[in-house]
Parts: sequence; C-alpha cells; structure tokens
Amino acid sequence: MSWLVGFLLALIGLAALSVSMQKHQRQLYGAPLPASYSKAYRRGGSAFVAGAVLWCVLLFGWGQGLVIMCGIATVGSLLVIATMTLKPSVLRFVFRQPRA
Amino acid sequence: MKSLRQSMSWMHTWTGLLLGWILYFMFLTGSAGYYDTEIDRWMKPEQPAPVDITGDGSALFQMGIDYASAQAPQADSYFVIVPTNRTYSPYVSVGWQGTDEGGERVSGRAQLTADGQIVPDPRDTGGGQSLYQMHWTFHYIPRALGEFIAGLAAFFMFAAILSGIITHKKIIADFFTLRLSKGQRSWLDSHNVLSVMTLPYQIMITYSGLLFVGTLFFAPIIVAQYGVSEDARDALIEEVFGIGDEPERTGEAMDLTPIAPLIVEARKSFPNEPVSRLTVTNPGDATAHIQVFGTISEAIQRKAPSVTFNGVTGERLEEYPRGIASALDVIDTFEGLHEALFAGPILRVLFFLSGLLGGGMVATGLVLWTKKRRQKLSPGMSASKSLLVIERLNVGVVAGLPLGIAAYFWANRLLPLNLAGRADWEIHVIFLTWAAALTHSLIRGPKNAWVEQLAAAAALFILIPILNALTTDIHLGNTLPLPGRPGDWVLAGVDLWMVIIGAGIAYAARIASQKTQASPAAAKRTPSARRGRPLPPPQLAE
Repeated sequence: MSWLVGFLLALIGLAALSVSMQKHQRQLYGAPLPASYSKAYRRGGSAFVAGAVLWCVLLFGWGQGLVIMCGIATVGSLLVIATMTLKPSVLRFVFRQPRA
Repeated sequence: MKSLRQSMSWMHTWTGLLLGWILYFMFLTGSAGYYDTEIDRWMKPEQPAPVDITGDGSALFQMGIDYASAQAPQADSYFVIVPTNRTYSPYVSVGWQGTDEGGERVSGRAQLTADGQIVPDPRDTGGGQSLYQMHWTFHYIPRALGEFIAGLAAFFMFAAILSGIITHKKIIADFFTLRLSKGQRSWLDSHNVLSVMTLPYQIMITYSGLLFVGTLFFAPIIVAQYGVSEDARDALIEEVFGIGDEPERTGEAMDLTPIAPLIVEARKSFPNEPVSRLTVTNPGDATAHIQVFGTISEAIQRKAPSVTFNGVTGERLEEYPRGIASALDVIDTFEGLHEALFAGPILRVLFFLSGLLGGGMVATGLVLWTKKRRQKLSPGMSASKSLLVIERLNVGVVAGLPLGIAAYFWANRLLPLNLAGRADWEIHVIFLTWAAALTHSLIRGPKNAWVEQLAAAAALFILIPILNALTTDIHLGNTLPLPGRPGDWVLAGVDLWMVIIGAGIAYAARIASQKTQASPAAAKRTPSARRGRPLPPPQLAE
C-alpha cells in the first residue's frame, strides 16, 4: 500500500509535468494553454514528484528510498508516455482544458 | 572542425553500434538474472518444497554442522547456509573442505530438508544461474575472456551514455515525446524515451558492471603494487578483504560449542536481520573458530555483517559490521545495486522492467542506425550490401534472442532426463535457436523476419505454462494460491511472467505485422533480392 501511494504521487506529478509542456499541450488540446496553467501544472507536478521522493525516503530510508523512487519514476513515466501517445483522451479528462 | 555535440554524436553512434549486439545480449540475460533463483526452482520440478525457517534457525544450523562433521570429520572447514530469503538455496546447504591423507584438496556439499533428509539430485539443468551468468561469461569462451568482453562492452556503454546525454539537445523537453508512425523519427523517439526514462538505472548498472571487472582491467597496477607470486595474491586479499591466514591446528581435540547461544549473541550485533550463514574453521580442534553472518541481501551493500567466536569456548572474538568507510564499501554498495539482492518483490519487478527497457533502448538504437543510413540514400540509390546484412542481422539478434531464451525453457522440459550433458544441451538450444533466427532473417529479409520471429517468440513464451502443465506437477493449477491453499508464488510467478513477456512480444509482432501489411510491396520479395542484390529504395524505405 505504501508503495502505491509513492507511485501515485509520482504518476500524478509526472503527468502534470508533461501537460505543463507546450508541445504536449498542442498534442492534447490543439493549442497551448494559458501561461498561468502551464506554471501551475509545472509547480504542482514538481511538488508531487518531490512528495513522492520524500515519501519513499521517509518510508524506506535514503538508500533504498532513492532506488525505489528511480524505479517508480521509470514506470510512471512509461505510463504517462504510453497514455500521451495511445490514449491522450485520458490525460485530457484528468487535466481539463480551461473554458474560454 | 566538429563541435563537441557532433563529436559526441559520432562517438555515441559508433560505440553503440560496435558493441550493441553484445550489450543487448547482456541486458536480456542479465535481466533474467533478477529471477535466477526463481528460475532455478522452476527448472528443477523434482525438488521438494522449500525449507520453512522457524525461530532463529539455530536447529537447522546445528543439523548442518552435525551432518558435515559426520560426513567429513577431518575437514578443515564447514559452512552451513539456511534459506532466510530468495538469495539462498531453498534448502539447508552444507559444505566442507580439507585435505586427504595424500595432501589432495577434497571438498563436498549437500542440500538437506528441514528434517535432515538429503534433497535428491534434480534433473541436470543450467537453471537460472547459467542464464544469469551468461551475461558476463558468454558461456562458450574462457571466463577471463568473457569478463574482459563484458567489461569492454560496459566501458563502451558508459561512453555511449555520457555522449548520448551531451548529444541529446532537448533531453528535458523530449522526456515525454513519442511520435508513432513517423518512420525514423519514431525510432529516434523510442530510443530517446527508453534511454532517458531508465537513465539512472543505465548509469548505475554500467558503472557497477565496470567495478565488477575492475581487478581485471587494473591488473597491471595490482601486479606492480603486489607482484605476481602466490604470497603477493594472499597479501592483496588480506589487505583489501581483511581475510588473513587461518589459524594452524594444534592437534588438541576439542568439541565444538553449541550453535544456538552463538546465534543469539551474534544477533545482538545485527538485530534486524536473520542469521543466514555460518562457517566453522578447524572443527574439532582447540583452535576452532565459528563465524556467524547476517544476511547479505538485507541492505543495498553487498556485504553481510558477521561475528566471529571461539569455536570451543564460545567467546566473542571479532566483529565485521557493514559500513561506508572504505573504497571496498563503495564497491560493495555499487555491486549490491547491480545485483539487487536486497530488492523485495515489487522493487525486483522494477529492476527487471528497467533491464528489459535497457534492452529495448539498445535494440531501438541498433534499428535506428540502419534507418538513418537508409534515410540518407538518394532516390534511386540502392543500399550497400553491408547495410542490408546489418538490417537482417539486427532482426536475428533482437527478435532471435528472446526466441532462444524461450526455447531454453522448452528444452528444460523436453530434453530427455538421461541425456548426457543435458545442462549443456539446454544452453546449446539457446544458441542453436538464435543461430537459426539469424539464418532465417538473412533468408527472409527484415520485414517478414520481424513478424515471424516475434510471433514465434510470443507463442513459445505464452505456451510455456501449458507445456509446464503437460510435463510436471508444478503448474499453475497447483501453484496459484487459492482460498484454503497457500500455493507457491515463486513457481506460479515464473509461469505468469512467461505469459506477460509473451503478450508483450505478441504486441510487438502485431505492430510489425501491421507495418508490413501497410506496405505490402515492401514485404514482397523481388527476384533481385532473392539473388542477394540490394532492393531498390522505394520498396524497402520506411
């Protein structure tokens, strides 16, 4: 269970970071999002990833915690990339486009 | 003059290509090594259920010592290992060595069940160990040469990683970028994504791999420092590893002290981990020593703490804790990371996946090399023979190796049990299958060979649990845990992994098949190609 929390934190963080990039915003929404959204996603994403690191380190110690974080980040980014490429609608659903 | 990035790009391309096939082999067989002991068990279906340790295991240690002393009363040393976790054999392992009356070195070992019965010899098999050790020994060549090649490949890989980081201009911006169906661009994206995603793992596994062969590559320095004699070797071992000469026997016969109190005492030094091993030096003599070890895989560092006792009085003599005080400790930490003995089931999955993704990174790099060269061809220009051969060999290597590994598992179940050199034949099956795949890819051409070989590998992997059910009792019907039945996750896990791996390869085969169907003209073999002449670019171009 503790693993899952760390993994979810990393997954949400990595997904937010990917959506904060203009090239992926074009891929998902057809146009870049307002700068404030990009900034919020970038900051939020970084905070979630940092939270995942902290969670792993607190739970498993510095040595194993960092190793586990690297593994979690690898699988997390694999999922984000696969979703972005094969099922972008999932990311569009999670990270809604702001209403005009 | 070339810029730094151009120079690095050149280095990345050529270091990757030169040893790419070897690196791919090392990644795949090395990844299998994360499940070496599990595969060992799966490949020895005749063996009884593993020993279940109760308490601190002192009864099992005492049983092992009693067995060794009965088998070899004059031995110079014994060891006993109990299965505290997956790193160790699932039974009580007992070993002894000494010299006979003629001065010849003699040794022996046995595996015992919890009630002291000898575990019967299983079928002659290479098991998970052969598959795992292959990633640095390459099986057919002398071990030292294998280590040298593995070290060289790791060196090139490290150079390729560093130059790849410098070459990749938008390493952060491209982190999540994967564009499919864009020909060469898709291969480049796949290569980048797989590389960057697993970068910490790649750096760790390569650097730690280099440390493993450090003594081989720095042999001249060691020789210059210590010399080449037997004494020089002993001096090196004593200085670096702290292993000194064993005490001389006095000839005064003394009984060994009971083991149980020593284990209790030793665990005061490492309370959070079980005792997994003990060694007895000079048993039955007044100079007897007993060294009690913790578990090697409890921490990242590949080193077990230990406490040494006087074997007669039980007096505590020395203690070797884990630490990060010396260069050797740093090496132990990196080697621990490389082997991942400390990893629990979930982290082990992550290591395994990272290893496979590393193999994917090398494979996409190899394909990318040929795609780039094809892209550079002007319209109407035919590809060189070397490019055509490399394209075909890439298929044979990349798709053929999984096929060979799947065939290894089939061989374990299908080769006659009384076949002479059976374990060797299992290994031969890997390489014969791989050679057949290479030949097939040369004959059929890349497009057809990708689909056919990936489909064959997928089928072989997916059918392994069925083959297992037809040939043994350790199939999923008996090993999957169910309500009221504990099952055996280790054996079930191997079968399930085979299905997962097979499904992954089947997906790759489907993509390859769709690409082939999308360009039927490309798949069609022309008379000129059959005669070995290059195909015109429009038919082979992506």
